[in-house]
Amino acid sequence: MTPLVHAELLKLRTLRSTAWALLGLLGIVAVTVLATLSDAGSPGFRSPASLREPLLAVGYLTALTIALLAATATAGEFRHHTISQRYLASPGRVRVLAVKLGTYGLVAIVVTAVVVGLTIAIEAPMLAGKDLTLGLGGSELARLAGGVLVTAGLLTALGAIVGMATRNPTTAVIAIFGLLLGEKIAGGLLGDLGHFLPFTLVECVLGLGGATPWGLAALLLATATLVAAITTARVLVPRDVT
Amino acid sequence: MRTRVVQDEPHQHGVTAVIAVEHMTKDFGTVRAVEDLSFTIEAGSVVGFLGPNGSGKTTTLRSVVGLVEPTSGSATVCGVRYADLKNPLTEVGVMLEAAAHPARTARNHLRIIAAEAGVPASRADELLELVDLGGAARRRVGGFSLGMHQRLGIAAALVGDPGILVLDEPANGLDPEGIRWLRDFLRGLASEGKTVLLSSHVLSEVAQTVDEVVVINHGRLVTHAPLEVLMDQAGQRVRLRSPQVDDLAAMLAARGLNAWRAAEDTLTVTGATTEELGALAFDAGLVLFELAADASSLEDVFFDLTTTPVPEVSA
Repeated sequence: MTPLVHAELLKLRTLRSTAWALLGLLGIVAVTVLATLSDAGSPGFRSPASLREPLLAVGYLTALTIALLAATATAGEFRHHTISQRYLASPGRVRVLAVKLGTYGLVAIVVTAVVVGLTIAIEAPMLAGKDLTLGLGGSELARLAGGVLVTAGLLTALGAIVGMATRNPTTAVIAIFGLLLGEKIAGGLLGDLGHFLPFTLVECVLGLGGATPWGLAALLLATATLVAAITTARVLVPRDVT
Repeated sequence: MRTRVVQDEPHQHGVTAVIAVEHMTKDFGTVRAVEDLSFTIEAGSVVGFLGPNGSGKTTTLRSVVGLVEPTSGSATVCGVRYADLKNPLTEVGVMLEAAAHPARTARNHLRIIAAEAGVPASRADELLELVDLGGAARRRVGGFSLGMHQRLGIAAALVGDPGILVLDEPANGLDPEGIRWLRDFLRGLASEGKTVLLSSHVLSEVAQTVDEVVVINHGRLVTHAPLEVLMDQAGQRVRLRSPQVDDLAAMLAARGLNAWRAAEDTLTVTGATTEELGALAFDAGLVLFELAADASSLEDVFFDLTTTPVPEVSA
């Protein structure tokens, strides 16, 4: 397993798209910090809860970016036919899938932690200068970190699953955004059931809204990821590689 | 009338079969790509796996290495399914297509495979030198020529220093210089005792490299024979030019010899020597303008093999 994880990390490190994604994330951090600091203190944007919302948005965007990276990188293996090499090295295809989900999930957690941590590190002292605070006491910080990191790990694993299932980077991206858009449309039509759709659950886990308690939302999201992984492993992964 | 090479049984001399395909059939939907195909490859042999485009070569090779699941039958490596090999890359080196991410450098491409195989990253540099790509190690693969892609694919197959190599059309798209390089390179590997199975749709590309050939067409085995058998077949053709070509053809047919018209006044005959044919024509009182062993190439034999309908396989 370790050589495969090493190879996955090496693959990420040796692609320009990874560097671009990280650069994009730094851009997001910069924009968020600037926006937060310029508006902070205005009516309705003074409470710690409201000041934390941009942080959660950064976490969400980071997770979504890494998820898209995971989806395109995984699907790209099929597009560039390098998946043959992966399966030749490790004919147990379920193991290849597991390594991809685990590695990308872990990378997403680390990157998201760094990005959100960096944002907090820049914002907090500057807000303090305006006599404002993010209110990140022990429990609030744990809630924020838990929500952001669980979201990052699960969303990215789902991204990798979409990549394995679609086998085409463009289709994978369209599928993810299609799901996001479709959920917004379907959510309204489904009534209470709409609370249990994946991206709505993500918002609940992050604390950006939704009616489901965050622990339950995280559990449901993890279950959905597991079901998607098992279905992909049993139905789609065994397909011939031609 | 066309000649037909007698289908030989695969070698059965108690030598270890490192690759064994047994009664393998593969369907893609309603299309049967491979049908009841059986052959074995012995340790240390260099075998050409030949057939026209679309004959099922790639499907067969992909089945051998577990990328395609046979509909029925089996394909094994060293007696087990490829999926059951402990560290496959150190046992079988595979080049099915020169696949690499275009944005990666050649060196990084090989380093990733080395990581998967559990061998040191320095192996990447060794192999790039071995395939004459040392100078292009840090270039992105997307800018490589076809020949460079093929070399990189061969290097990738060698990462785990395997004893068996499965190469799908390694000479495809190579210029004459590239083909010569490949030939010398494969000869070198063979001299190290490696088993090589390489496919091609052009016999002449591999004729100077392989010891034996497995020929398939429409997914079925046509012949599995030492190369000498095909070379003998090629050498047994005699060209006869005569103003009485119709009478000559009738006489040869009456004697059960295979003959076909190669030109208006020329026949090509198999199954008899120039001496025998000269005597037959003399006895029949037929005039010959030309009587010569045909310098027909192996390619003609290959063409015969792959254009003659293969008998239906009985159930």
